[in-house]
Amino acid sequence: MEKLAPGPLADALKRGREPYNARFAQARRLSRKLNPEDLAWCLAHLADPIARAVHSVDPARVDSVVEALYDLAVDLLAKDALGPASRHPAINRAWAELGPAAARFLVQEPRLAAAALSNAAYHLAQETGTGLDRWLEDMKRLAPLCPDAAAFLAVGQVIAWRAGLAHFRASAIQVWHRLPEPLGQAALGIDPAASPPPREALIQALADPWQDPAGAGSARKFELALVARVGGFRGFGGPFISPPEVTQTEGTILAFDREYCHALYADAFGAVFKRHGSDLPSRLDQTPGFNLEPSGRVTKGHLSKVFPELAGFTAFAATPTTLAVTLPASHYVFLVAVRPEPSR
Amino acid sequence: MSFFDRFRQVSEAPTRPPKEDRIKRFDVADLYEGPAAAPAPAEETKGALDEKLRQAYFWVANHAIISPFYDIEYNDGPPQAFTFGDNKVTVTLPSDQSYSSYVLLPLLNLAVRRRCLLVGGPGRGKTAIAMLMGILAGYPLREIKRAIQHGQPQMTIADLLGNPLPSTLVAAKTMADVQIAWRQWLGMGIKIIDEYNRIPTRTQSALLTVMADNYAEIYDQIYECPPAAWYLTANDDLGGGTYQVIEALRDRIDVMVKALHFNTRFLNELLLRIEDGIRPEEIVPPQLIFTTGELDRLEKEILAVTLPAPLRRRLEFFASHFEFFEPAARQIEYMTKDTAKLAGADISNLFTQETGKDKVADIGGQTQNGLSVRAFLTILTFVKAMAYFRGQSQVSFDDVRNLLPFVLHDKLVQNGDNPFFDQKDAQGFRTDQVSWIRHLFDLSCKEYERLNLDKDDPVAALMVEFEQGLEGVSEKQVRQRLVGIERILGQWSKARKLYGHMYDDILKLKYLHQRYTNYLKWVQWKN
Repeated sequence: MEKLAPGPLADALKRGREPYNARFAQARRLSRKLNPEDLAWCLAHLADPIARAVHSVDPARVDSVVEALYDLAVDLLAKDALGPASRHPAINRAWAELGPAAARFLVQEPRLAAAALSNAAYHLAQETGTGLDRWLEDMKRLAPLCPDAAAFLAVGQVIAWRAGLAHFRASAIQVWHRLPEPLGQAALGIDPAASPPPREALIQALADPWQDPAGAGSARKFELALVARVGGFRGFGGPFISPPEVTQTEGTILAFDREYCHALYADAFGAVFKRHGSDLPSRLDQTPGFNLEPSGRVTKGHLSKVFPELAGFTAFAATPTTLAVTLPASHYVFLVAVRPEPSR
Repeated sequence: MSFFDRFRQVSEAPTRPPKEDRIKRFDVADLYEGPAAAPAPAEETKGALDEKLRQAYFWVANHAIISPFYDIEYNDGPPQAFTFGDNKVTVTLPSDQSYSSYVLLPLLNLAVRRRCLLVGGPGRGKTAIAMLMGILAGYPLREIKRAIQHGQPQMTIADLLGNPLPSTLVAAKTMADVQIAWRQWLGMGIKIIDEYNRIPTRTQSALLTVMADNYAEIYDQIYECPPAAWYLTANDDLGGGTYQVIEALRDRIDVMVKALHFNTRFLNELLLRIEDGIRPEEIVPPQLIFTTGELDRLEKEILAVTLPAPLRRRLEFFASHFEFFEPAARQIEYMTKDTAKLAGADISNLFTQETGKDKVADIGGQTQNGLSVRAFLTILTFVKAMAYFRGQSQVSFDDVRNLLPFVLHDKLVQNGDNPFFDQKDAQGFRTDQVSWIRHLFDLSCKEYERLNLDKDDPVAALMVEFEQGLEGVSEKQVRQRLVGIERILGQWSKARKLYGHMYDDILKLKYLHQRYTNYLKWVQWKN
């Protein structure tokens, strides 16, 4: 069994030895797969560094943080979501990499903050490829700038959107509006050393899903571009069993194969498919703004460009900012949008 | 999750997922929801409360009261059915979310704040579920325990309502000077009367005033009670017990629900509770507790649920069978079971005088009484509550079919002498009131469909015409309408026997005829 090094966690567990043992025994009655070795591993590798960091912030709060971490660890272990054999190693990473950095906030809201960070890591790992790495990195970097747990968690929401959870875009921007100025800019990835863009320019950039607000304010030309290729064959981890087609309803692009219909959320930071069901919604809308010719020529307002790879498309649908196109022999959805020309 | 946590676990929303059609809008707050459970804040719910009500139901049904019965069945497709034994006992496996009446009815009663009678043998959890409702209404357990009124043969009005303060009683010059120390339970939003059929008759009368009119009175002093959900318990559903329950008190009870037996397959659950000292009433999850504001809002939202006109018509048709009683009078308006009852006549004996009708087919003959206005109000309220609970904005046929037996259980008195009950497959209906009333409704609906009343209802057409108002209706039009009414009555008088459902229609036609006649006279005078 993993040996716990002397320190604040060991002391706190010693102080509450009987109730902690009783709680584990009760939990084990419900979940036979809970074993003491895994819990010991979690405590030694995940909870101990956090308890040490908490102790350096506020020694008086170590007991309540340890209690919250202990209960949450037992809870997650029973679900195979934490520990050495976890089905979701992202949660282990959140505890190990972010936990000590978040000690100041765990002191304020032990269970809430610990659960929130665990869940966010879980979602990022489920929905994005490398989003979790970016999110953990940014959260550690911005933690010192956050005044309290509420601000830290709000920053976490904005960063999660920028790490690839595109379906949260609209509500994350609402959260961003409530962040104080320097923290808000940092959450959008704006270099604090550089002169920040005016707020109006940021808000304008946020209205366009294909603009990175970090580059807001710099005058650049716009062009039609193939901004993303999303989806893929289910056998290779994508959502589609057969080449999909697209349509549009309520401002959302829907991609559907012969089995399921998915809502597609995409922006400059990533794309997420969310399964809508097996049927298309009863209401389907017209495609606004974009025009696509059989040759692959896309026209939007005064901009026009030929995309030879889109010739012979099977379907297209658009929101005011994005054109989605599907091809007969591809499991991908191709996204065309107006975006700032890359700076040279 | 600890053992205690398991008992505190609340079903994840939505407990009754709506059919997906609209595109889901995602909220970044969901980022922090997931496998790691965070403590839920105990604050007032902002959105619709039906989800909270369902979560409360599932918590009570899964963790508090062991009632693994799904006797309120819903189907969204053909259910699987199996038959057992020589008597072909049918067991259906509902294809949609179904419910246990013993948990659902008390909860709906809390939502609409009416009066619920819990009936069943001792030790079946009647008081326990009433206490759980009290906790869901936001009262601490200790307060609820103190507020339970335990019926017993020596219970006086003072025990029930309160005492005059001796000092004011001695010094009082007038009754107005007497001050009363009112009992605390009167001011609560949950009222639990345990074993109400053990309360002496005189004290029952005092209880009646509180239940019926929501105030208490002693020494000319009045105590106005707040809106409350009532839970009364009894071991005997005939209203027996130490004292006979006065009829007016029984009539005030809106729904009756029976505590079903303990399923022995759940003994292990009891064992675990004993071993771990679990008392469900002590561990109600705080997020399930309703504030007074939420309960007020809940009631309003329930009453806003609509009852579609075709369904209302079926309900009217069903209820119209029961009051009509031809042998009771000579004049049609008095041909009711109430007339016979008020005259002290033996209704069973009078039934034998009815001739010419098929006594098995005429469902009106199966009851000794009709339905009161109060019964109608209760039906309408509870079917709305049922629809609301299921997340619907309008009442469905199944809501009515499922709820009627519990509302009418104590309100429709069976006429056991009716030959219907002597049929081989109807014998269980003598003792199973719930199935009997549901069967009555089914028979009524069958008759309704046979008469094709959804499409061909001449009285409904005349009502629609009349409800458009009389203003501007010419003398000629009135005469045409009068002739129309007379023609319908003429046709009916030739072809049909007089049944309960025709009775209300005939009286309605007479009413319309009279209104048009009066209007015609006025038009003639004016011209």
